[in-house]
Amino acid sequence: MLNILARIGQSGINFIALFGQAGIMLFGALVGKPEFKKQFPLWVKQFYFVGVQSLTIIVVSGLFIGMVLALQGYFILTTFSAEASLGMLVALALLRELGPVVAGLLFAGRAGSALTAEIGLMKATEQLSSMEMMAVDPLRRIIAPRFWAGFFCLPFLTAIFIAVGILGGALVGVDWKGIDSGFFWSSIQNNVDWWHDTVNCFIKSFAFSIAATWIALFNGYNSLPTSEGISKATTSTVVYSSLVILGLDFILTSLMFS
Amino acid sequence: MSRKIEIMVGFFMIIAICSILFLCFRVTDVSTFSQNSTYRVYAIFDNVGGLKARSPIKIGGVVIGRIANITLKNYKPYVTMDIDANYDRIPSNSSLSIKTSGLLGEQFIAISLGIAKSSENELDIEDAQDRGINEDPSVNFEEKIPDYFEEGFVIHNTSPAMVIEDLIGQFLFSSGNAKDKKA
Repeated sequence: MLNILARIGQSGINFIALFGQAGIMLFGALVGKPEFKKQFPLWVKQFYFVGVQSLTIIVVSGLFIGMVLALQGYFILTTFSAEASLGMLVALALLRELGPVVAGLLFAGRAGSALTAEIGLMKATEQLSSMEMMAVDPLRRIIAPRFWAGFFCLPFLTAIFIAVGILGGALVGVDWKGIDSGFFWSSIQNNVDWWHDTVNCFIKSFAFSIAATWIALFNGYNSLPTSEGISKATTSTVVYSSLVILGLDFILTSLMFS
Repeated sequence: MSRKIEIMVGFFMIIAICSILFLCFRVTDVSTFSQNSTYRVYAIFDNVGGLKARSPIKIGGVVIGRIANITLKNYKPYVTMDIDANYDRIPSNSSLSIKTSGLLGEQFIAISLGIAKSSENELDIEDAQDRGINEDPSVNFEEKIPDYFEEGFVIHNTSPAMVIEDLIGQFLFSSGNAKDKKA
């Protein structure tokens, strides 16, 4: 009986300590003397790995999500003969929810898992500890450029995702289903609000980028230095960042649109 | 390798900036973003129905401004409106009414223009200046009413929103009376 209680307490303390470690890791990586000149090549390299390599999946899935949204919306709106407001439906759905969330989930799956696996393997092959031996802070050298790359890339990818999605919606609505292109675009422009929709979309996207990148980096940094540990860390990165993105989305939506 | 990476990252950044610009200029109506100068007028209604903040204000179907917010003042709906500064020649005896666009559309304020510089005795507006609210209205009664809408002007010449339940109720009530008279 006492053993069970002790085990519960132990796991609670471990759970809290995990948060502490994650916070300390981020603090150690980001706070310090800025070294833009030295770190710039590292940043560019991480932008390539995190941003450019996620571009394909973001563009393709954005196109198809926009097209399927327009198609389903068209079928429903024609029953009310309101297909002229299809553009508004596609644009608002993408800007408010689908864009930030789906881009965040894809980012967590594509870039987050890669970051975790990379850092986990560095830890398993003791590259991190050998860096420390050479008096190079691995937090500043490895974690910080990856964090900033993730932080800036996800909002960029979200913007690309939404733009491609709306163009895909226009492709289906205007070119295939024959909605007048003036109706389509004017219903978008009349109903999308700069502050309420576009800026909130980017606030959401930055929140998701912090959460997803942080979880990915910490899981890699904290992984057990074995092959099983790395696979476990990669899985938990995808699971936790997806859950956190969906949860954060609900909280942010209820704050923004109430 | 490094050169190729730089080119790819630059390409990525350009696409990202293009799509942000697309979202700003093609998707969001830029005119709502660039703050045109507006002036603020107020209106007191009996009932605002389904009017909301950011509902449009129209003259003859053309949007000339938006509602900033709606509060209660002396237990009457008090609507704050921002009107585009280009439209500064709206006669002060114009009347406001709340209309619905289409059968199920959203509600907006329609301004029906009055006649500029008509004889002031005929004006429906009793106390024109906002600063008259706290004082006895009779003191301000002789104060000059501006000819046109201007900053801080309070409009009293309003008609309430039509509430469809009330209309149906009135109709049923009056038709019931007619039957009683016949009998």
